[in-house]
Amino acid sequence: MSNIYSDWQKIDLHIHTDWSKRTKQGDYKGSFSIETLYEKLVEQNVQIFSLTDHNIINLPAYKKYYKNHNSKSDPLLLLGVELDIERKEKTYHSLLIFNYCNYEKAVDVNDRLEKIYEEKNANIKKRTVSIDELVNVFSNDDFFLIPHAGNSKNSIIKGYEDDEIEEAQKMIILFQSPLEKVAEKSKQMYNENFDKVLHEAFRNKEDYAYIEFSDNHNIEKYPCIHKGNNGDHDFYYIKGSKNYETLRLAFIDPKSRIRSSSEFKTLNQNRNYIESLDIKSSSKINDTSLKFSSHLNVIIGGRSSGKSLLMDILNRSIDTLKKNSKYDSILDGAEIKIKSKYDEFSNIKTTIDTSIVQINQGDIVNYFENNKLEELAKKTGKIELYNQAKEEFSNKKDILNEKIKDLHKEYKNVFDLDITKNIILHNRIIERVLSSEFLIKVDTNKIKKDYEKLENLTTNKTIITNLLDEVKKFKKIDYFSFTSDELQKINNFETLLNSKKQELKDTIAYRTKIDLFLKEVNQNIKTANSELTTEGQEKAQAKLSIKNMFQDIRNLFNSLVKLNKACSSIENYDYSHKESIELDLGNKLCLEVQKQDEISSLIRSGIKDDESDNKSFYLSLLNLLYGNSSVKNHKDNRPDSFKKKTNSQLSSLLSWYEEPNDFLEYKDGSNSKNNSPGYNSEKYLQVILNNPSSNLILIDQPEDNLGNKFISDQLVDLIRELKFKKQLFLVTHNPAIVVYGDAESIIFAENQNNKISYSQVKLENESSQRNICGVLDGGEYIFDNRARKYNISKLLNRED
Amino acid sequence: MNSITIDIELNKDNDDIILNFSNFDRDDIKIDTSTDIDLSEYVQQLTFFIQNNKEIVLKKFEAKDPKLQLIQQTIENITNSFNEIINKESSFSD
Repeated sequence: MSNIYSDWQKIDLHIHTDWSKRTKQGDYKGSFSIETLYEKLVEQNVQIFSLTDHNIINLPAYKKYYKNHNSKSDPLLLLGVELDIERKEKTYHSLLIFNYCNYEKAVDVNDRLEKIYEEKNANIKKRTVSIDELVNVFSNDDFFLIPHAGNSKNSIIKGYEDDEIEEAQKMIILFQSPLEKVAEKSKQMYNENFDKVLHEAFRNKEDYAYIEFSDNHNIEKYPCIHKGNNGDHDFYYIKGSKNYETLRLAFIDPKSRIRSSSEFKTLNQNRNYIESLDIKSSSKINDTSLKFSSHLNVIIGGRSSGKSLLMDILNRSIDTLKKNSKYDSILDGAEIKIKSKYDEFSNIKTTIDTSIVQINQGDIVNYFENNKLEELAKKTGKIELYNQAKEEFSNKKDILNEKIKDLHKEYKNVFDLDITKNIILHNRIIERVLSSEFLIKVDTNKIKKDYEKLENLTTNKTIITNLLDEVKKFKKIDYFSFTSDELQKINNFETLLNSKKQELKDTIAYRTKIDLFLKEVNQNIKTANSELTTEGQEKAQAKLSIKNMFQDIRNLFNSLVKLNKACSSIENYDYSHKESIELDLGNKLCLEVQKQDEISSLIRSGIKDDESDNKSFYLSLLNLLYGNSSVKNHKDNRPDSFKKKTNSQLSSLLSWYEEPNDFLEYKDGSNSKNNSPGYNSEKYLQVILNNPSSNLILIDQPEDNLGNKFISDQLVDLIRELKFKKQLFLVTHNPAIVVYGDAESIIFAENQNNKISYSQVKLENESSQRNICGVLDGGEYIFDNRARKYNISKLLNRED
Repeated sequence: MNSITIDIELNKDNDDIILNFSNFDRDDIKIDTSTDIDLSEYVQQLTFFIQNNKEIVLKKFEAKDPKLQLIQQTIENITNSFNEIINKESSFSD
């Protein structure tokens, strides 16, 4: 059964029958029969072919084939002939392939051709015809001229060689013909020469068609080349259906529609794709069975015809994609089954083991507007880098939080020390300190500093004890058979450890005695001072007061220094941050927190009566601590109030780190922040479509917000290139995407009386072209323009 | 156990107290009594003696002034504490 989308057809338009012997001496080997031909074609799965004898049409063969093999599954026989075409004194060979596939037309064409030869009274073995005669006789027929263009004597290149080759090239262009029998190495040279002929605006050598056929002269050995002495023919494939229009589209657009055997084999290699979708038992959708191309599938239709619904059905049938719940009620009760190439059977869901790009209508503009370029990171396989970048912002936030916490701590310390408290050294204290009474004192703390701390010694002893235990275990490991020398070394080490352990033990005993002794000394001093006179005791008390006072001053000073440092640390902290992730084509996905207000300004704006113009941040906080200003809404300067206010003042800034602004930075240095939604969407699409890790792309109206120039100049080219590497599903209203994109599968969505139906058409079906024109604005212009791809009128009117 | 003898003497010119180490090579320790009495140097020296494990024998002078009496008594009390610790050898080893 033929596919309901444009699929690859094996083609051979150059097969001879034994009638070639009638016009060329000995020009066939073995015997020919239609049955053998049919068997061989079916065996080789050839779908379109032609019987092209030299200067003669084997009518009985055509008659028999059309009579016996006219079902849709049979290979399609197009009427054809290989002609010797006159060019001055020379001739060249060319196939003529007509848009006819029935016996009556074969008879008609044969009659007119035979009449030419008859009028020329030509010997059957020396039949030739001129281009003018052909154009004259077949002016109302649709046919292709496919000349030999290789280096043989029968080549059109030989016929038109020297200064007239340009005429041949013009003619080929006018006939929209491909060339046969051109060696690979010659194609480039030919292309360059075509370019010289063409007006600059129409130079595009990728669009010249080259194709190879078997030129079989020995059907028993089919698919051998010629008579069978040069091995088997490598078939060419053209994309489309079993019809003549398929040839026309292929010869106009060979880049999209012609593949050699080796190119064909690589098309779907090692990639999974959606093969089919069945929808049944839905009250809102007619039962549908869709088959998809592994290349470009477009969904078209009028407003509310169910295009996006079909896209959603695909989404919800692929396990990693999300459905849109707004379609739940429409799909209630529907039986939906999907099948991928790697699935054995259709199922409710399928797994496509590749990253999938899925974009709903309007999503791209929303991504830019709503800071959601994370989606781009996901779709381009960069989500890990994106998350790492976000982690950097989280770190930056943690650092700022620490600084704020530190500020609160230092503020509280100064507040608790009561900066406003007056420190007064009373005369009586000074007098008491200076009195003749005396104190007995010993600075035991100073003495202690001469000795290693006892806890350090104990720790060292524990280390050695543990080490000794481990050495004992080490000696007992069976795995090693220690030599006596090794054992000696271990024992020596053990001895060293034991000696150090003893050394430490002695030191600890000594240090313990010192501690005990100093404790006793302190007690003795206390007892001695208690025996002093009242004045002596008052002197001791006064000295302690002064000591405490100095300690208070020292503490306050230290706290102020720390508060100053905390203020500077916040003032000097650059909270702005930017991370860039390299994407394709020199574009970068950037995340950014931009510096706006100073952090200190934000904090100070939460302080009432702050004379912000003439005080530093630190002085501003001192002013608050002195009570000269207050925390707004709290009317005090308490640490709790300050903390709450600061946190509220900085909450927005801190939240930026959770959701940093994301934007695209383009290769030219500009970025998405200062470009239009259209331009940004173009770049976004380019990046995700180029992502090599995705094999499946589903986009609902990619053309939204895009300029027509971008669509026709770049997007279409990108789609044409990518569709052979990944499967694309596009909902679109744009005829350029459908026609220039050369969609393999076109799905029509229609809504009649609230009942949605889906049908599939192909570009190469002329009735389908009319339907497409009816649905897509500008469709007729696009089809018309494509048909005149080489812009023949301009070519003909060229002045030189 | 060897002992170290310290003579407590009084400098009658300035009332300073002198601690003289009669059988140990060390300079005298002078304690200025005109101001607060700082016994830190003496206590520090005793901590060094703990390692030598030598008992201190103190020889006092006859003090009449209550201040000097208190100082000498405090020095004696400290020295007694020292000797007690020196003699409790076994209790500090594990």
